[in-house]
Amino acid sequence: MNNKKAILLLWGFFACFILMGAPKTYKADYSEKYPVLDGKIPGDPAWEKVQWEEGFLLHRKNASPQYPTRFKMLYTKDALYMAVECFEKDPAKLKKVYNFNEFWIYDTVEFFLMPAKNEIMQFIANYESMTYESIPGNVAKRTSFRTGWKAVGRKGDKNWSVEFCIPFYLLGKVPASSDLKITGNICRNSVTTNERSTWSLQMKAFKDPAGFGNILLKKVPAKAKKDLEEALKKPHWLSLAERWKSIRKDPAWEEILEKFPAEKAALEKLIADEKNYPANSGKFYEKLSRIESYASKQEVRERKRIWKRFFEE
Amino acid sequence: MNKIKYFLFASVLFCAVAACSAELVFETTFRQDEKGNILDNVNKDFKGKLHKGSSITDAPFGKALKVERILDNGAFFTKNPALSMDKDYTVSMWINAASFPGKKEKRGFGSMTILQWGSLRLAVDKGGVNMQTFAGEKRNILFKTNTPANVFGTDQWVHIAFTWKVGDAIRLYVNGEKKGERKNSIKTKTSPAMATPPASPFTDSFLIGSLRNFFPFHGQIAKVRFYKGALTEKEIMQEEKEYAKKILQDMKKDLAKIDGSNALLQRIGAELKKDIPFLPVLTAIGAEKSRLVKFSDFKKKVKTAGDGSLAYSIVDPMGPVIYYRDTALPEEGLNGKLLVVAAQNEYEPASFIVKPLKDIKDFLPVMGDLVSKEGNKIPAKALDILLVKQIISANRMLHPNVLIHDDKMLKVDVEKMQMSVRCTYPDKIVYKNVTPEKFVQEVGNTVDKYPIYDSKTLLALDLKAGVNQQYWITLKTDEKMAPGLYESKITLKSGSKTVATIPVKVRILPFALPEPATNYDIHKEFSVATYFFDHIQSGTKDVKNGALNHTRPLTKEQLKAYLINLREHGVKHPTIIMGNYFPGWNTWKSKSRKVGPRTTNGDKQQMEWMKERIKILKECGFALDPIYLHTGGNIGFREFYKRSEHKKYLESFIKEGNKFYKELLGHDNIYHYGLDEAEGERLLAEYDVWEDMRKMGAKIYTTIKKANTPLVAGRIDVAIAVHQPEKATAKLMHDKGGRMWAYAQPWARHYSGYPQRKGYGYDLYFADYDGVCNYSYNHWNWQSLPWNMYNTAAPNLSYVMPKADGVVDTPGWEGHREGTDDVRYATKLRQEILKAKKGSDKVKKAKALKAERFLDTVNTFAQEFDPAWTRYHIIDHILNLIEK
Repeated sequence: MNNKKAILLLWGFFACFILMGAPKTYKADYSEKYPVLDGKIPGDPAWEKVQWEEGFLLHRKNASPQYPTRFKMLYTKDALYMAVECFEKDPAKLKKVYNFNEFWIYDTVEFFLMPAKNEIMQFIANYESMTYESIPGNVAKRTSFRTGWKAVGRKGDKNWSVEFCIPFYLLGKVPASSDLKITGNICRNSVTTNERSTWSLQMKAFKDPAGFGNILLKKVPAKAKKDLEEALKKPHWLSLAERWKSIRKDPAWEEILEKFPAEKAALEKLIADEKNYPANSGKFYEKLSRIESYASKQEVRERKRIWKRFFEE
Repeated sequence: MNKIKYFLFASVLFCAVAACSAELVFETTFRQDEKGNILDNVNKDFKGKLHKGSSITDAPFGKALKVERILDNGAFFTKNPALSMDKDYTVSMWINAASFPGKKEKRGFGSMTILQWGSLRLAVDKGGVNMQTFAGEKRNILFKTNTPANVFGTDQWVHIAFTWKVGDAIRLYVNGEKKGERKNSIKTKTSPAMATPPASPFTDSFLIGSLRNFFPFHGQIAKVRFYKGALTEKEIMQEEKEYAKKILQDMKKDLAKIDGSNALLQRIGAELKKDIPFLPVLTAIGAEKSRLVKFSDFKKKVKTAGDGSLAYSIVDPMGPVIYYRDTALPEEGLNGKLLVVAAQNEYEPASFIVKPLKDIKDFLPVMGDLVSKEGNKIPAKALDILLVKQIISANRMLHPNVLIHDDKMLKVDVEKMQMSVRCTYPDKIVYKNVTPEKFVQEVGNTVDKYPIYDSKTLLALDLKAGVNQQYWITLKTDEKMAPGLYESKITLKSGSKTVATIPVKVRILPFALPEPATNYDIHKEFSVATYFFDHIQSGTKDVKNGALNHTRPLTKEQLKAYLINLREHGVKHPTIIMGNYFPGWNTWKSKSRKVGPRTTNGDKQQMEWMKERIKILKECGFALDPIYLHTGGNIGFREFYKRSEHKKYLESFIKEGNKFYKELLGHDNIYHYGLDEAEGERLLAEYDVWEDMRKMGAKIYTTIKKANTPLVAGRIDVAIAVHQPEKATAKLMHDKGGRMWAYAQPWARHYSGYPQRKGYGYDLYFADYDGVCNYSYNHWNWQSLPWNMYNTAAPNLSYVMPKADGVVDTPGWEGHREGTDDVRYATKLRQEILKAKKGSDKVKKAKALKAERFLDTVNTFAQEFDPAWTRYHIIDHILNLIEK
């Protein structure tokens, strides 16, 4: 009897030893509904049935922070979404931001995703929808600099919240044929309590993959598989909208846009219809590509001309 | 049958260790029983368990444990009284790391555990090994030590051993060579000090692989052994000779299929013939093998140049890519033409990389004279060819850091990762090792101790098959050069034989570049300043030996060489850090310091020294109008200024200083440094002294964070801001009559010109900034020779390196100059636009408007921004406006 107890205890200890060491896993499901990116989570039909994930731990300590943080995730045909709520004693007293380039001294949420080796992406946002990012050069190259993503924050009575939208085009992978595991972490800096906390226990710097947990995107339903795969082939509407916004009033693009009046008019219509960006992303891409392709060919021609001018070859 | 096998095994083991002083008490070669338990070859009943995620895999010498970068991953063994370590002991294992912790992890946190045995933890980080354990009865005496970093690489089998010798020392060995050692313990609040390791008996369970809370190991572990007793280097090599031989044989098999591996095969053969191979050679052979494999692939695909003994590629010296010994040659410039375009008064860089397919002796690129079809000539000496030398600097890293003429100035052994610098004494040449195992402080870095010189012209060197050699060319143009397209070639010679030629075309533009001006106002200077140390506050008269570090006085000749180098790199305002004692200041350290401010400005001797300094600066071409002085933080008043008490002293300082400089320079346009990087209360506390200084005719410049611009606009004259430049911030200063410079955007670095060019050129210009003042020209750590590997400030906070008669340039410093030249080109275009708009030629006016639109719409932070092509477009616009 004693031997059996001892063996059971040993196995129990062993199991705990293993389990405590096993990375945390969050499972995210497909959603047909798109969250409205406004920082408001209660009342958003897309988030209604998704459960909150809690249990944040203090950075480098296996202990709970003073004020909790919770999050939930889902994915749509073209992006991974995350909603985060950061509880505060008094959100009105959150530190005013002077220079978000120094984001680490303000109240923020940092979202880390590592879909592949050497592709640790860091997305930072705060309650005022200020964002910052660290996206490796090889990802920028892979996506031809179409690295658009979005976060919208909002201050509430007892908390502040933020919603992230991370396109699959940026991640480079989708759960089309099977579940997709992406390692990552959600980290929070709370200035009022002078606490840093993380979803997956992190004993090193926030960015250290050793402390990452697993974000498991469950395999997509068959009816949405094709659309999901398409999401990898062209930039997300966020990148497209961002790109159009940056060039539409850019004087450097004026001459080129004059040559594409129909495309310009169509894009202006599309950009004004923010609610339908996801639905119109195909049209966006088609119109913008035509203009950019022309611009790119023109630049190549110009460079050849200049080179010939300099070196007669 | 199993018992017989075990007996034979044990017998072999016994014989093997019989020659050794220590007793082998545990060995696993990761054999498994039918249930998958890991076997101990010494104690047959002692078994370990594989944790989830780890596995057993094949290795050159049998089996290995594969650990997959997962926490709590490896082979776990429970306590065993047979493994009670009472006194001396040794841990020995083979590892093959698939990857190392990332760059930003600090030592201790960025380690990958390979063994945890009680409180003993053995870990790997960045190509080195570290260990720590607690000893003593209460297990509260902390012992730890580590090897240097970068002792070995990934994807190679390396032997690690740790020995604990009571009353002696703890030691770490890599491939049988001692790489870390410590006698005493680490004293902390809870850890008492001990002079040597004590006997500290322990009997604990152990995990081979990754522990729960530490950065997990990623790779393989093989043949783990514990001994009672501390092995010596010889004994380690003796013990591991069979494994070493198997690894060498495995390498030999791989290399037999690879061309050019004869020398390495011979070397391996020689080691295999020895009874005990020299273990340390495994690291070097492994690195060389990986290079040969890459080179073999290259040879199969490459198109060669000339006589087929090499290929070369033209590369952009200001591009974002950094080229190392084994970087693939870029396809784009392969065996191509060197094309350079330059105005009539600039320095323009170009570069090519040679990859020899076989060893080439006495290799020397020789520039020919350039000739245009109009018959104009530019002599070859207008193009200076230098080597891009890869040197070992901070953290034993190899980087293409310096541009020199003589490869022999620095001897770099990439196998041992050691470097020595040539010291040329009157009667002999000595190479001094600047990569010692341990850091030793040495402050007497004078020329007589370190007479380090480079050649004035490029010298030949021997090229090794498959190893890149990059060359850097600097074209110096002047206004006597007639505009046009010139052609020439660079002959690549091996002794007297030509192995290949590189065609060269140089376009000399039909204009000279003006001094740089701002984007928003063509009449305002774009100031190029830099933090600069000269350490001649006591004059040069008594300086006999000269210095190889900025903390020692320079001779006059050295100082002139530094200053000429600064001027040739476009610097107009070298700010002189902390070496300026006139007007003198009082070095206050705290509010409560009893010593008050100086009542006088110092003695006549200091004035004479300052006069000498000014004289030398002027001789070297610096106008010093205005003059930027570093004067201890608001002339020493720092944040402690009390108007009621100190105003009279401030007045007398400024009056006397202004009088002195007016007599010397003809003006009193003097800028004094504020508090460096002050924030919050300290910054606000400067308001009174700034107000009074400015009322007294002094001007103020200092560093701030960009976000604090609203706090200083209108109160100081030049803000030197860190963080990404923005037009809006510059405007805040401009609206209140001030100017905006930048620093640390990026920090000074040796090895890459691209970020310096962009950061201190177009990024600032198009953000309407007024100038640059980066840190620094020559901040080298004072504790050692700057060439010493431990001098981490050298490659990370400075632009140049010292030699006895001046400085050695770097790609980073060349990049800084290119940034200034970019601004000069843009200034030239603005000037031509203004001229055309004022003129009557309608066609030119239209072209001017087009050019203006181009300049006004440049976005240096756009994804497609390219500084080189921005410049070429600017040149194109200039030519449109000036050519008939």
